[in-house]
Amino acid sequence: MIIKFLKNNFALIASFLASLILSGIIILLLGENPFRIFGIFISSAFGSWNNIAYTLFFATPLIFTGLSVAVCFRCGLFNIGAEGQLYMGAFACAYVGFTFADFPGYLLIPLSILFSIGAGGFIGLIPGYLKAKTGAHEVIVTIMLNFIAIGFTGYFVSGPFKNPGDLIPQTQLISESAHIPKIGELFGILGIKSSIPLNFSFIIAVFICLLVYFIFKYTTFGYEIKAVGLNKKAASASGINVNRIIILTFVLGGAIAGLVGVNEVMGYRYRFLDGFSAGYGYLGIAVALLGRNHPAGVFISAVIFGAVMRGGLLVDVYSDKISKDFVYIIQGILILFVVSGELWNKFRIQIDAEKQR
Amino acid sequence: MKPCIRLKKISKRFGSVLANDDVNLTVYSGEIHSIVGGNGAGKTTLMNILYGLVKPDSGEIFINGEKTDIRSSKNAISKDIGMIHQDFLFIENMDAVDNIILGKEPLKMGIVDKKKAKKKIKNLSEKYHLSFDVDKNISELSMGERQRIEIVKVLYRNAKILILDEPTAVLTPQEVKELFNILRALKKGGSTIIFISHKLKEVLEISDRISIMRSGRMVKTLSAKDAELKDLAVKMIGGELPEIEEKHYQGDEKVLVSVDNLSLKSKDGKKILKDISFEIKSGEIFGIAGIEGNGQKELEECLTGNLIYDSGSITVECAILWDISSKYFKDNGVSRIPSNRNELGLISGFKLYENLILGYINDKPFSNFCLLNYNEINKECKKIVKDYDIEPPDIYQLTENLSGGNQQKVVIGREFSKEPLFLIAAHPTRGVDIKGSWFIHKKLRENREKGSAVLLISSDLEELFTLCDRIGVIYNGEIVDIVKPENITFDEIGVLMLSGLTSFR
Amino acid sequence: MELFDIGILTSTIRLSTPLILCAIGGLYSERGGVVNIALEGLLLFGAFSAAVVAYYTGNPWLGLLAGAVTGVFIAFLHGLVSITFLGDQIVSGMGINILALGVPAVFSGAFFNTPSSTPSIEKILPSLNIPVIEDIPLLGEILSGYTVPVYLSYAAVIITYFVLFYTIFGLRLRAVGENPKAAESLGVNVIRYKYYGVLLSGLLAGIGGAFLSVGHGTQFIKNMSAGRGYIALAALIFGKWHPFKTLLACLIFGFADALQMRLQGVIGIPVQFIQMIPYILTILVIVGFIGKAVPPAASGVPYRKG
Ligand SMILES: Nc1ncnc2c1ncn2[C@@H]1O[C@H](COP(=O)(O)OP(=O)(O)O)[C@@H](O)[C@H]1O
Ligand SMILES: [Mg+2]
Repeated sequence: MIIKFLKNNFALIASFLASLILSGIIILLLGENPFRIFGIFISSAFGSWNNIAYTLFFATPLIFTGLSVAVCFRCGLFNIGAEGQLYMGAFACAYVGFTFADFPGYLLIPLSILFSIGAGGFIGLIPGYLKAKTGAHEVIVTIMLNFIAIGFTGYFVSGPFKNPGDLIPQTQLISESAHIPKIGELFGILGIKSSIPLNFSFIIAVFICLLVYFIFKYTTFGYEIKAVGLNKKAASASGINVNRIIILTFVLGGAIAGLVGVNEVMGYRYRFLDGFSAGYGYLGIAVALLGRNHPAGVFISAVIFGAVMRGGLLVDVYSDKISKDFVYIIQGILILFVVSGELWNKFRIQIDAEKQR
Repeated sequence: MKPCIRLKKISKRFGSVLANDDVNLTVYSGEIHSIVGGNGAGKTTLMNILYGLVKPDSGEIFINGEKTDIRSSKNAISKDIGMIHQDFLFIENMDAVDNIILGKEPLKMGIVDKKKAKKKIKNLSEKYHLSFDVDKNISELSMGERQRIEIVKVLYRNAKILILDEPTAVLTPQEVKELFNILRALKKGGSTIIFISHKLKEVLEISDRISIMRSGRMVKTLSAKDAELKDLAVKMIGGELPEIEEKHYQGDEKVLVSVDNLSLKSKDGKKILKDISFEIKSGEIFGIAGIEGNGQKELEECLTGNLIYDSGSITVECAILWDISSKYFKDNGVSRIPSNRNELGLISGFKLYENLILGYINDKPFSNFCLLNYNEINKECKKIVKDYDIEPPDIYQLTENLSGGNQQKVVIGREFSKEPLFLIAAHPTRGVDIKGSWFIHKKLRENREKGSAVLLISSDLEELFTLCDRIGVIYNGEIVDIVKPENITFDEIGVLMLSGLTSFR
Repeated sequence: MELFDIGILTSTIRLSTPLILCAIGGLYSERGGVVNIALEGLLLFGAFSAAVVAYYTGNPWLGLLAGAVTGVFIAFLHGLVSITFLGDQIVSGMGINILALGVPAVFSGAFFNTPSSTPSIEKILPSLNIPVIEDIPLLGEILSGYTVPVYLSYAAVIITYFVLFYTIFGLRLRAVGENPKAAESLGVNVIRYKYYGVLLSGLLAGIGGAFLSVGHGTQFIKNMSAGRGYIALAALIFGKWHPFKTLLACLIFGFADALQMRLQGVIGIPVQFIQMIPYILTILVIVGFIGKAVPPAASGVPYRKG
């Protein structure tokens, strides 16, 4: 079993090791001890329940964006637009949260979540619709839409919805009844401090993972997504409405990305802050790639990326030579190695050839 | 005569397919050497290897007696080899001149000298009577013009050895005649020509020697003088075909399918299908015979709801199919084996069971309220796999790992098992080996016995004569005649297919 | 302050320069069939290395050279991943862009202890006045007095037009981007031409980056490209992969940028909406509202040799 798993995921594992080695060399070049740095990474990401909670907090938005990209990938669509989708989702979430401030929690919380999903889904609808109706390439459209969506939210929070008196562009706080609980408050037994921002949206993320798995495996929609992704012509000839599937898939992807807003607004900052995303949408591409577009894989790779982000923060503190931006280097290297499929194929063929002899 | 090309023990494997298996071939200089073989025999692969586009797994190439390592087409070109590809290789939105000179551009002070190029091209096209519009983009030119450009492309490089891969497949009979005149002229000029086709008559007409390939292997090379059509056919197919069992089904005369005045125009207003009309009775196999490219493909697409026709109607069991969509047609009992199974019939990245329910996913036992019912799916898939002898019988394997014949069985099993009213089978045995073909024929007959109306589109006359009750001959988008196989000979139908003229009968 | 004066024209020209260099670079890559969304990253790498080298050597010209060389090197990485290893071109580009967020920051942190910028350079690229033209009133003010990369960018446009449509190199590059198999069958070395295209994009984008840090500015600042790589990509599409039309697109987008800066703080149209213009226009052309932008037929598809 394990050997089969290793064999099937040879390229991923090899990429992972290669990235580790290359990052180690760079750390060495920067005048640090790689083992010490990796030690900090690991202990600060997984050293205790509290650290794990931090890691999962960073992983949560990546699970959403990773799934968003993966769902679209499955349909043969490249969603680079998760960044824009999540900004819109977050803003809509905050908007509901402070506009309907006198709603009770049992109404306001679902409503806010619905709005993040809806706003994300709406931004996802645009590239899907344009692709289906005009054939416009979704990569270009989503890249452009990111800037447009970020522009809009930026305008909202520096103009009409700016919290008066604040120097930075951000909205006012959302109503307390829209807050979702921290994991520390929910599960006291683990001893996770309630100051740690990991919140209920992580549970939503896990649920969405399961939901996506369910859609892929057990629904006709999932079947049709896969058919369209693998062969549009054959799918269409078999009676599948390809355009409809493309649009629906993009809406689903956008909606999932929109959920990042729940984590950010309802579980962490309680307001919309301009430029809050650390490139979650773009990293989602890497997460999906590393997770091989499978929900479980996306979860695992989001946790890995989350760990890198969490570790980066502490490395920044404990080393004066390496700043927290080092995580971008690790992530970039990892992406480049993982995507170099043929490199590993060649490797593999050579290893197989050696074995034959 | 001395050998100009010698291929020794060439082998090439694509995944599970052994496209070339220890192939030997000798071509003498100055001859027209034909290679014949059914679809998938490995002809194109062998030529691609000679031209450096495909790397062989093993084997040697000798040119003019010298062992030559051909690593890219650049090497081949430098050895004066030129190739005209089966599915032309053009840069569609560049003009003919750019397409011809690419890779060997005349220069004047660092600038591509298009004037000089044009002049040279003009000389060549005049010398060999190859006319085309040099200034138009390739995408605006006809198939015949494209082929002439391909020939000029090769001549422009002073190729002495010309490979033509199925050049006649897309040509009208007149164009074929012109092509043969050109080839004869080239031969006179000292060129060596390798001519690939699976149309035996042409081959006998033009060649000096003929080599026969079958499922990746070289069967025999013989002189055209000694060759006989029947003998060639037998070698190409591999053994005598058993006698046709003359058991044409006598249906109950109930007309199940009727196609009335179906017409289709292309975007530029050219008529592709002209008033196509025919009826198929329950329990009848109706054949469509014709040279490829005479509208068969479009007819197939129209009849399955994948292409919107301009006028006419299709009626299946008294119901006019008014909503032109593949889903609606399917729901009304139309089913097909597409001519290009890998593009339209199957999704090769799917698991086998997923392909076995392709197109039927929303039907009752397989899904309920958008949820898949795996119990029913498994049951159905295992049944098809058993009934249709799909090897290996694992329904969770990837379809792309199956052999061509078994992939075809997947499509056929899926469609036949639903017992459709109207079954369209387009080239169902193309690329399938003999055994598989017979199995498919058997299943087609069984379907007829069950009362389906079957439309069989094929370019294989043997197949049509074996199976069909009536055959419509399509020429230039028109059904020129409908005949019964017992009342017509191969030759006669051949003339019909080539010329569309019924007057000779 | 007046809204429209000569200043806005000169700043349009300055702000267009990195866009032009980047977009023309991208043009080579995409005409050869390799989608290059790494332009943003190439700009950052170019800007950072130029600033570092100019700081240590005190010579901005060496900085410019360093920017160009670094651009070529990083573009080579993109080529390696997407051409040789057949990786997805978009993911590869994204990887480089993410790398570009990290490398400059980490290294400037390590070199100068300031992760968000490099120290100021004393000598930046000098402004050149063009004789004769500089003396023409008005026109002289608009056309003269820029640093070398500005003039270089216009030269690049003209040269590119010529190279693309009149030379063997251009014909082959375009052929490779349209139908690599056809090009290969005529003996063109497809892989090599794809590399040429990608490396040229690195060269030009690297120079564009250097312009940001040692021509236009005086130091490298974290994320100083501010999405210009993506705007260049947009300009390339808006310009339908044609050098002159792309130039025009860059000038329009550069003008929007200049206007937006001018409007900062001025009440009226929100700056965000002006910043959005390039992106909205690009979507409109890709959809076909303003002419149809059709990319080279084989762009984005990894080429596997038989
Ligand atoms: N690039 C390829 N990849 C996979 N299979 C191939 C490829 N080219 C050819 N084949 C397979 O090799 C066999 C021989 O094909 P080909 O040489 O095209 O035959 P022919 O030209 O005689 O019709 C077929 O089964 C075909 O499917
Ligand atoms: Mg062939």
